[in-house]
Amino acid sequence: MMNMSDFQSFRLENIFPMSFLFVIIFIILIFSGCAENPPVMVDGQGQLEIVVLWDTSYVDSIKTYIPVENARAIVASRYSAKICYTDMDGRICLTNLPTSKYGITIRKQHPVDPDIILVGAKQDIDIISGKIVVDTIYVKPISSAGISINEIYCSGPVNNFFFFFDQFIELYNSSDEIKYLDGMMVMRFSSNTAGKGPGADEEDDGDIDGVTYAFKFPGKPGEKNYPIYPKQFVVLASDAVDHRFVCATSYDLSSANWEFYNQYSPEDIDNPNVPNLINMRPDKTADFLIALTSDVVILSDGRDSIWQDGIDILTVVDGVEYQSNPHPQYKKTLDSRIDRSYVLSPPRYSGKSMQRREPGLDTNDSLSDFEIKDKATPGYQ
Amino acid sequence: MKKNYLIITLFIISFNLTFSQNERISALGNTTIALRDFDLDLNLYDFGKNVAFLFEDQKFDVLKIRPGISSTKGDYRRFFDYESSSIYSLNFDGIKILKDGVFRGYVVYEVELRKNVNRSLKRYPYTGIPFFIADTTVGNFLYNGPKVGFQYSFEFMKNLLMGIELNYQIVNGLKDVYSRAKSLYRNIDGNLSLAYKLSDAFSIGGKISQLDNKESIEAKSEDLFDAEIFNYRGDTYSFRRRSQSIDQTYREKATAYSIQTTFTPINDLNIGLKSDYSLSNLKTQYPYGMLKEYEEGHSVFENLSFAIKAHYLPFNNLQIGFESEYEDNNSWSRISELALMIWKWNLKNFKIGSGYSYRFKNLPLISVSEFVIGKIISDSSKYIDNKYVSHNRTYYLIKTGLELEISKQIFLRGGYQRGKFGFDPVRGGKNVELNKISGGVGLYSFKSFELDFVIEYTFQKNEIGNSNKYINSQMNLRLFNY
Repeated sequence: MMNMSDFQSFRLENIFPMSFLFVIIFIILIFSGCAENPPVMVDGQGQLEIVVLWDTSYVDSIKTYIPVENARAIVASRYSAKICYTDMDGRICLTNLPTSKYGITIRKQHPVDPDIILVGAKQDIDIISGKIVVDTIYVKPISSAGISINEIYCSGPVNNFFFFFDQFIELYNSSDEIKYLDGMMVMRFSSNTAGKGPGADEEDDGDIDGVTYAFKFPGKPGEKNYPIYPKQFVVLASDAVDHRFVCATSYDLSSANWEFYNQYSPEDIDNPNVPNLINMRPDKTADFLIALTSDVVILSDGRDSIWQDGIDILTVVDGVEYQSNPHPQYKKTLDSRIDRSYVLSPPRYSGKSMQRREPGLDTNDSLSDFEIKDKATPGYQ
Repeated sequence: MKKNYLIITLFIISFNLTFSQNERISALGNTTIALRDFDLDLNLYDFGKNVAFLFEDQKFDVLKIRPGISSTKGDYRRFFDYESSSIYSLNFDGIKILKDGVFRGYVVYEVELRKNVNRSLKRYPYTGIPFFIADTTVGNFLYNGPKVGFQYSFEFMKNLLMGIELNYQIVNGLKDVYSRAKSLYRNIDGNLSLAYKLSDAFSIGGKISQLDNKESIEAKSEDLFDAEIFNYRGDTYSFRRRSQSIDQTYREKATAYSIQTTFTPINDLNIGLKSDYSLSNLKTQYPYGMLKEYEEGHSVFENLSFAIKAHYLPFNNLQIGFESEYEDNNSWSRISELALMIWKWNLKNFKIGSGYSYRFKNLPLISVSEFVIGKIISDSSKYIDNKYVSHNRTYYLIKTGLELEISKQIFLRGGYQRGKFGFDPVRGGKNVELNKISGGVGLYSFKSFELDFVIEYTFQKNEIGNSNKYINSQMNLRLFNY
């Protein structure tokens, strides 16, 4: 039997004296700090040397390379984009660069023909601090010749009730001849997320996959009923109405040239004064709407209208990918034959739009082709 | 108590502009070397910050109630700094003599309004960490929150004292415009300390401290806008992050070791020696994909310091003080993903100071004066920005104060500080001049309470004419036998 005095002697400090406990805690704390060795390599020591050459064999039978002097180079990385110019020998030398993947786009006006631009690009250049990367970029002459997606407005106006139904896509004919929209298709690619992603050539079979919405101009490819004149802007509105009645910060699209109309939807707005692009997917009953900050938009000539197995790249007239965050936070998915980069989109509900820097000028490099405009400009630049 | 070791280090190097711990000292020009004061004794608690010696330092119960107001304004600031700041605080600090130990408990509630903070979402952007977080707007931040802590000291063996201290702090911050960022700062720190009193003339002690703090920042606009923030790596390069809600976390863990001794080699001469070493690891993290926390950057701070202080009393009404300190602060930061160093900084500070305090025989007056001279050697290599800066500059501080005893109960105090810093490591200015005047009153010798009040005005100017003004006022009501 234990008596009371036994209980009193059965105290923790009798087994582990307080001093002993504190000494143990002291020893644990003494060894709890651990210094880590600093890295051996430092950042900010990368160097890039680029030579820009023009392969004149495009216009001359003899293959010669001419250094491109005073060409504008847009050097983009995850940190920022900076503009610099080539020297007399067509060289650009950038030093003290932080480690990152870089993309370089070169542009220069053709010395004789103002309608031609010399364009070249190189993407995914790995610059590692302490290393020198030397490379050559060959520029090609590109003429503004055809229809392109000139402006995408999808962010929604400034509002606080989730209004974004005033979206539009603007096309532009930068050529000197009349083009026709008959049978052309406008598509949104946002599925195929399990594979390479929306707009990627999934099985390397020459088509892009992931069509979510496909709307079509009336007529068939090759017909000449719906012209788009030289230097004309054409606005394709989700709903061709004056959205300012709903949201004061929105835009008047009642005079848009075309309207997306889903004939399978019981509630889609249809302005009778504006001709319609109609839905090609009966399983989709919503209007043509694209994501506010991240999506893929494709304009095709309509010859390949069987969207289920993907859209043949050869029929694609223009395509643009836009994303809210730069690589590597977001992965680019649209096939690089259509768009080598992507537009960094404006914030949602900002009323801002993405527009080409120069009307219709398409070098298949959206990062440098597009800029963010504070206000959308439907029907004009 | 310890928001960040480097902050503390830098503030000590520069000048104390925050709320002081003792209103009498502040009113007398912050003369800490030679002044005779209850809080400036050369013992392990006051000099060595060793909690174990609280048992010997405090012999009576007291409750201190300390409201304070502080305000800062000026254009001598850095890119991410605020334009002005107002701090309101209320502090309750009680000491109780227990049967077998001494207990000290305190609670502080602080409200700070920062006006026109330029883009920075971090409360202290310049703490030696190159990973800034910023949005695109200039706005006001309101920070508020409590801090609680306690110290306990006891004698568990004859002449061997043990102490423990624990502090907990939470501060909420809110930006009043886009991106409507919210921040939550949480700090836990504590220490265990030992002190051995070999004799009345010789004491030795040691302390081990641990700190764990976390600042979580969430930018989430109340409108439908996406929050758009920029993660800076150094001063030049940043990358954009945009989403409806963006999070970022700074997490610091630190360990510090300290040893102290005080001894009296001859009569009327007291000497204190101490050495501190601290090591801090700070990680900058944010959610990324499937990872819960992605480590963007890692910063390491390693600080070593030695200090000596002496008090000599040639006469009963004269005290001569001497102090010298050497600090060596090293830090480096890397981008974790690439294991590349982006910033390395070494900051050395050496200072030496001396002074006297004298109580006049025929006048009810105490005069105190001190002179401090020092040297700061700073070597900063911001590799990512390609900026390499070295400074090797001296500084000096002159401090003087007068205390007039109007009656046994009423004391009037005044003080003046003047200093010139060849290089200011806090804001990076050159040839920074400091002028500080202070005044105060003490109402003493009442049976149940004492009251001290101080008001300080500081003017700071760099060589190109940018200046800051500081006003600080604080009251201390001490209640005895509560």
